[in-house]
Amino acid sequence: MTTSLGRAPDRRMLVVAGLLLAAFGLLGLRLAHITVVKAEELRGRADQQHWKTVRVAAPRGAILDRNRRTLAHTVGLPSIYASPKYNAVAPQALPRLAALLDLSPEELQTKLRPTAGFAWLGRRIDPEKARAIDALNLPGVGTMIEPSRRYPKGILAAHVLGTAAGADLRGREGVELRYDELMRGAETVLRVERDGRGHTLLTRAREEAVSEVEAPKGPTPGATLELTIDALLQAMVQRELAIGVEKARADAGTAIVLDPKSGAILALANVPTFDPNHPGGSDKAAVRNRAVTDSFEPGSTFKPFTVAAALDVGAVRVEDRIDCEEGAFSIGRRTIHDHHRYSLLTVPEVIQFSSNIGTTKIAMQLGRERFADYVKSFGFGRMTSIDLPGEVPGIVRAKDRWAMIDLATGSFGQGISTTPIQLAAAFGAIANGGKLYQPYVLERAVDDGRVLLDWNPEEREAAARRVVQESTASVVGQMLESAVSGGTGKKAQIEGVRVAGKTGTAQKVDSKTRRYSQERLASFIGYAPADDPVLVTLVMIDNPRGVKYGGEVAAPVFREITERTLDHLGRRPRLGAPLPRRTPPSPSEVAAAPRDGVPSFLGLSLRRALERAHDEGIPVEVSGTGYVKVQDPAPGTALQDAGSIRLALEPVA
Amino acid sequence: MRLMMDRRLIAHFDGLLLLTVLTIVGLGTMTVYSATWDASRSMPTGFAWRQTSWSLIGLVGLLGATVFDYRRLERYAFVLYVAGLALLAAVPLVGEIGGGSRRWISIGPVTVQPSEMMKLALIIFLARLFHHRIRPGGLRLRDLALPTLAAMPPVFLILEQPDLGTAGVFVFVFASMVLLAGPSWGTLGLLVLACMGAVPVLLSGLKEYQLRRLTTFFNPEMDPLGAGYHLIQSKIAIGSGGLAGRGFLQGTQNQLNFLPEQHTDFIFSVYSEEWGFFGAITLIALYALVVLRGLMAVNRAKERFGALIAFGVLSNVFWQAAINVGMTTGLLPVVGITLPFFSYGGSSMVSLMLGIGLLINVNMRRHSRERLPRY
Repeated sequence: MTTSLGRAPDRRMLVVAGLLLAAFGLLGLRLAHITVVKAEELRGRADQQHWKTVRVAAPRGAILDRNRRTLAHTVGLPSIYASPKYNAVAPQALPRLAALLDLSPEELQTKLRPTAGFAWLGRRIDPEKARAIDALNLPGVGTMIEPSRRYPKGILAAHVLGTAAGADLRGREGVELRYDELMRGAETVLRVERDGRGHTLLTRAREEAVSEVEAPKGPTPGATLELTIDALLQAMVQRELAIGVEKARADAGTAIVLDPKSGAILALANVPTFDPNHPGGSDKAAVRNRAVTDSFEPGSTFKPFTVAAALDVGAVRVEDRIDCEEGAFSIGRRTIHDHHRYSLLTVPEVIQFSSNIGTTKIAMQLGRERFADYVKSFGFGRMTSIDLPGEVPGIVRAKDRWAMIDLATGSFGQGISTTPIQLAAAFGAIANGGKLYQPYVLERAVDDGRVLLDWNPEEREAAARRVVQESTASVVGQMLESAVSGGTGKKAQIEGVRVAGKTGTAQKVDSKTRRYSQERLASFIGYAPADDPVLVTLVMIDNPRGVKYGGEVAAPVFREITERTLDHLGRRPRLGAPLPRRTPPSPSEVAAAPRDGVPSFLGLSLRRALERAHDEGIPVEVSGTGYVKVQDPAPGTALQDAGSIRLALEPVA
Repeated sequence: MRLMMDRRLIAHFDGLLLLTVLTIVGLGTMTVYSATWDASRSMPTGFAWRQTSWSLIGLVGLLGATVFDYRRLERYAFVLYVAGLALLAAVPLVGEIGGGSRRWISIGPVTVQPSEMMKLALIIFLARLFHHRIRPGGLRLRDLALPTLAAMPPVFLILEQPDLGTAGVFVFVFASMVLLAGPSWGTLGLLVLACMGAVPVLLSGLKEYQLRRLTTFFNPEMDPLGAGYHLIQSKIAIGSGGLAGRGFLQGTQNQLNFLPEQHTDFIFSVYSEEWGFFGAITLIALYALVVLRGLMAVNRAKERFGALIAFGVLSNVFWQAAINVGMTTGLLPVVGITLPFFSYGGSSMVSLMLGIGLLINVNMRRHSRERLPRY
């Protein structure tokens, strides 16, 4: 080592310079390695870090009724969120914010956990309130529009529509589930920038960070469904059914109106029902679409199918006389009873008076093989393939499992189980001259004027099949007419219209003991006008208390529905001067409710009272018979949300 | 100003060095602007302006450091050293905590980092100590005793802050100056052995987070969200810059705050992401130019004192730049060392500029015949 520093370029300095430059050169090589060789991989990692794929659902298609009235549509509702970890909400703003979110300050405080990077404060809230929150201009509190499914008519056709819920509006029940994909449309995939703290940058300043990648034209909206349902009819059917169930003090009920010439469902209602706008708040029993998901023994409404089968193969003739054994007929160790004692009845009379023994004898003439074939042919024991989810096939014995007693009880609807929709569809076959149509609720799915899916006449006919000859159907139809005009179904009569129908009062099987209980299922199924039916109506009232017969409990509901439907369709002949069927309301009846309180029910008949209660959406408890004499709370008092009104009725003196 | 009248002084003013430094400062300030850009509001924050102010103060200091004969400093070297040490000693008493360590003290409205001031004071003091230690055949170990003793208090005070990176730079600068001062081969061998022996002792004295940084250096993917995060994010930023870079304010890893300490220790990653390989290599070339001009000043210095000062200053620039780029590219463990003239920081900027001023001063007065009063 030298100890002096020379002025001329020094060899030692050159070495030092070389070393230092070599160090920089090494750094340059390293940089080249990272920015050239590994650039792609690292750039990929960068993209992966800060680009996040967000799937944005297309606007879910609307659901319309047959006259294009909106039953369901999608709206954007604001949701409020915060990021307390990065932006604490000023404590003095908490009470205001809590009030606007309908939360207590404590609840809001809980949601604003200081460690939470993201927290929902309120989902799909009132837009007015969201605007007010926006106006507070709180740092760290943001608004996001979330799609939300609305059912503007509330409980109307709830079981047909079902619900669509969740962040992605997934169909959960009804046609919302069945046609979920059609209505969903094509989603857009957005790439959203995300920062090092995991924040998705949807803030106003970075809106340009959102860019569409996979669907440059934006999401394709989902298809619009046009249903066979007629909203006006549906509303009427729901109301009449609710009144019928209420009057009978029954547990539940189902009503179906369908067009026998196509299988189109015009109305389908169950009680209890629910509001699809608040699916979370409804109990499971109310959401269930009993018309397709529940099966039970049909009882006497099944008899026409037994008779039709026997006539169709010629096992009996219409004029044959059946010995009805004076009301008791033994098969093995079992005895079959009729409600009344009959000796000899013609085949039409067996239907007219609903004789179990008569039907049994006819079934025995038919034989178990052919009986089993026809039961299957009428669509029992298998699904109707209606386009509603959750359908069950019911239970029908296999062909070789019919013992004599099973044939006997099966002939009048015991020991087999069917769904309401099966019964209604099978009745349609008798009504229309022998063809069984597949019931359906979707008329067509339309996307931007283009029909994506429909149930056109060709497909409809292809799916239909002849069950009995036209002459058979017509003869059974006449029997069903006489059952209404002079038999068990008298309360189904409609002035000026030929009505065909059959009552049923089935014993219900106790699900625990597997034995018949005291509970009954009262039903009436029929169609009108008998010579050229435009509708089949099924009414089932589950577990009526008091009078339990189908002819008493279900037939009047059938009549109301059928008559009003015929009026609505313009198919009820006018008989001279149209007579108002009901007397106009008396002055005491129109003592209308003060606007903001409990309406007056005083002086109303039971029927009118229940109608008004239904229209006002107020639950009532009824006692006595006749006309409303006492009402508690009195008219005009403030209406408590959950409270019901007690009505005491007395016969008019 | 008789000194400035001398035409040769002005002729020997290293304008290229000043220009190079100012270019680096300009690029650095621009990158500070980007690194501290508020992406969510699309507006700059105040950092770039403060950095510009410090640069201007530094420039005034730089020019001021050229107007007097650097040899006068020999007389004040000890005073400067003691003053710097006093400032440094005040840090644990009145210092301000930032990022888990205590490195700054407030003097009036400004916050200074005494360790940066101390660096320059130590360089001058070491130059003075080595100036008269000349021995044929090289310095003996005992000749290094006093300089080592002088370097130890500041290093330990800085380690206590703790600021491992700056302390390390002190050691490297000290070692560089020792090498220039000319140890004998025997001394050199003993020093190397001593360094190797000191490694386990130093490792055992490291704080836990410092140790973790070192271990994750060898395997950063082991803990990608923890200690390895810095390094991985830095490489991702540099790599995604590619050859040409993403453009000014367009570096996503910086703008979206994936990069940590993006305006100080990792500002090189921000710069590389925006300007790519070409930008980065240009910057490295600028540093190389500074170092080469410095070496020329060392080579031509009139006497040993000036050469030692110049070499101390340039070795400081070299070590900081090389270690910083090395750590952001994953060649070296992550220790907190800023990029000279580039990273945000007022004390560092002023101290570095003063150093460059002295370097220019040494170069200017290589032919000076001015007589200095003896001391």
